[in-house]
Amino acid sequence: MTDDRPSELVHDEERAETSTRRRRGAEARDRQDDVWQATRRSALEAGVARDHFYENHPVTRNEAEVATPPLQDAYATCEGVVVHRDPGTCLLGAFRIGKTTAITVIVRQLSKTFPKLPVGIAVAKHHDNFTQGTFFSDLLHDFDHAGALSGTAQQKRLRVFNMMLAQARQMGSDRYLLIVDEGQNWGELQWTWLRDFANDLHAKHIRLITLTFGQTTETQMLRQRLLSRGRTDLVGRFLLSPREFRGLRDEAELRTTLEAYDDPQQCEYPVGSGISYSEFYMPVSWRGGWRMAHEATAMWTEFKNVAARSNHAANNIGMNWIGGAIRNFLFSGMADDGVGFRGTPQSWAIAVQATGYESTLF
Amino acid sequence: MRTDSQLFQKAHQGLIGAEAWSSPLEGAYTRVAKLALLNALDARRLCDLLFDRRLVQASFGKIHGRSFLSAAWTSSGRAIQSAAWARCGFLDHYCGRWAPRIASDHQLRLCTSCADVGFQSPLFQIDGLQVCPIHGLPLTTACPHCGEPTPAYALCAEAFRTPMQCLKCGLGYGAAWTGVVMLDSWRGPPDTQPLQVLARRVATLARTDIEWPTLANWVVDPMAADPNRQRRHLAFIALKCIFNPPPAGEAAPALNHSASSCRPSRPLSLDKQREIAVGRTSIYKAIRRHLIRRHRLRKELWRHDPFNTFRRHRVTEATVPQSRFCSALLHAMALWTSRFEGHDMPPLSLWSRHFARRGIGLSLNKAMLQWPGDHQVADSTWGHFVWGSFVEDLWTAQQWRRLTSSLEDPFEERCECDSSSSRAPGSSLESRRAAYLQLLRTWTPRLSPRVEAWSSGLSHFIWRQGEGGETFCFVTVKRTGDA
Repeated sequence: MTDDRPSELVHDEERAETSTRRRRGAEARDRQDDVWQATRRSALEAGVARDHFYENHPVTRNEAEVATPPLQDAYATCEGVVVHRDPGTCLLGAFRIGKTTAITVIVRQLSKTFPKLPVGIAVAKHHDNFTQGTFFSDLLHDFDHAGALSGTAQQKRLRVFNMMLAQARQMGSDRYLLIVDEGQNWGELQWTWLRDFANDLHAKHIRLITLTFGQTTETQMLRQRLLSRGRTDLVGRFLLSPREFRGLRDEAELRTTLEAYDDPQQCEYPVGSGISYSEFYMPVSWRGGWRMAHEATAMWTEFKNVAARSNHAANNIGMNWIGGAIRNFLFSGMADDGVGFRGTPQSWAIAVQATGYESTLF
Repeated sequence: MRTDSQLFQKAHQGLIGAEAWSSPLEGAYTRVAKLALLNALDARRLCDLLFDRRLVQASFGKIHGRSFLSAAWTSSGRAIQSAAWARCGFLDHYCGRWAPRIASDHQLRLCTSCADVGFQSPLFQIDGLQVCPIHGLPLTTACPHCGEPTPAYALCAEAFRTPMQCLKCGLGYGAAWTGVVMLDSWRGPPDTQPLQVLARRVATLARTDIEWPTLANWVVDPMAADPNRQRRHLAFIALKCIFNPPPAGEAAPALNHSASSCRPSRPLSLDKQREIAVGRTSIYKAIRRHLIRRHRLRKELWRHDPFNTFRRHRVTEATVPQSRFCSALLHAMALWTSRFEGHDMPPLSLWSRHFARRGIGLSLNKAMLQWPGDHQVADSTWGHFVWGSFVEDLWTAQQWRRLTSSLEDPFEERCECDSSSSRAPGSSLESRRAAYLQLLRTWTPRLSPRVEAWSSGLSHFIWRQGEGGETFCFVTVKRTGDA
């Protein structure tokens, strides 16, 4: 059908339509801005709402997940493992270095990069009497399966197998990434069971990729033990090339980490408010131009001093201590929140001391 | 993109879901079977996890205590996604309260081609459905390999010991069932359109207000191996052909039905009652006159002595012919007139030439005049009822004659065992007498107007449509060799 209307009329109608669309868009944006402003106000101004946000803040709950430079290195390793289908890689780090938090951040990022990759997280546990049933019960428990404690070892094994198979098929993937936390807790038997399990999955055309996180010393000992018993099959498959999951090693890395606390793109709470972690705790100082990254030198100096007192070098500081010191600093600094606020060496000394970092240096 | 809760794969609310491997209109049986295999869980644990109920060890009700026909027994307390998904496969999800009235759960019914792709529909449990609408194959209740009966269509231990596998030979009911997870085979039929047509028809039942109080008493054939199954079968056919008449070219259903408007019974004035009685008596007399003339019964009546033609049970008042020379037609007439005119036996009015001419003094049974009792129906519907009653009595008489013809009349012969030491000939007579009495016991309801005021082969239901609109549907089975 042809349009017989005069061209001027058509143009007028188009113009009217465009203007209506623009007006509606502007109204929607205004509404969104109003909501955003209301959220910001309730989160930053004293009141019941701010108390609620404070209680549930990731920093208050010690659940802050920050993409530190070591974590970014670890993620790059994981990404390579998944892309190249390396059967097993292990990342080793000292205790309280932030491995478990790293797993959560890595998995979240992996889900964005590889949306069709099924990922399971198993936390290896130590048992006095480790049977196959216990092993698969632990796996089922980590996967939140209702049948974790019932049935025979074979049934439990079948459940884990079906679970991985179903998830891989459902997502249309030929890979399954199993991240094992505290990998040093498993011995020769457990790794053997996992190897057999991987073989069964392989028969169904699914490649099991394991990424093991463990404590450096104990995992190295496990590796040596396996090598001494000639279990190169297990070492070759799961513990072939141990890589270091390190802590922060210099002030520059610390600054990058602290910048993340200032950046609402990376660390925002409440969600959608545009409030960074630093701004939430120190709103007045924030408005006055203070930033957490400004504290990098003072903070690193304090860590260096503490390490030096124990004849150590501050070149591998775990995220647990860094995060703890930031929390302590923010909690104490809230009382002094005001224009011109700046952290003092004393306040940092208290904050670092309260983390217990010094007691780990022996 | 996955949400935070899906950052890494966990069992969804404690179970590995099988939603990705289900098809539209798939039944709860295969849904739960898939969950059982995927999660390596037995029936007891599944019953608890999915429906928050315990298994029942034995079930003696009309339907199994854990039947997949009706989800009434399940608990909605646990909001598990897999439970809601499984509940969608119960038959009552499609046809509501009609599920146990048109379908059975005594055995799993399956199409082997559907089973090959991991599929079974709750609609297959409908007794009126003989073939799979998708593949056209007959629905079976036996293992395709060894013929062993399939288990109950219910969540019970024996059915889910090895889901969708024969308990005797151990083989699967289809290629998709081997005792292990067969995700690649559980793809379901490529096109479920024919089944969806049936599902839509069945779904109209759930939305329709039908009252069928006489359904439980509808006995089409007292000798049927499974009268309940036969009843469910016919109920489905009756409802199907009333709401969705079969298209031209499709085989005519095995039922006669007539529908007319009706209204609930209410007290009537004496004049009105008398008016109705006169009209209906005329209808009855017309039908009776037609039968006597059409079949030239008068001549036959003259050949029989009214007092030696029939025998009547002194307790149940079941009436059977005394002589093998009495035709089925005469027997039927005796039963039919007894129902409408009174319980006298012999029905002397049949022999009355006076009545044959004028019908003076005839008064019909009140119960028959007021049929169906709870509703007032048009005289035309009542006429259908009178005719239907005769057809049923004729069929009863024909069946009785057929079944007892080989037994002759065992009560007319003298038992030789009383006078002789040899029991061989007497045993034969005794066995014939026993068989005769057994038949009499079975057929007594149909042979006795006192036990059944009208034949149990007749049924009716009320269909309510909107405000005050009620339709009375009278249903009878088509009998071969009708009068």
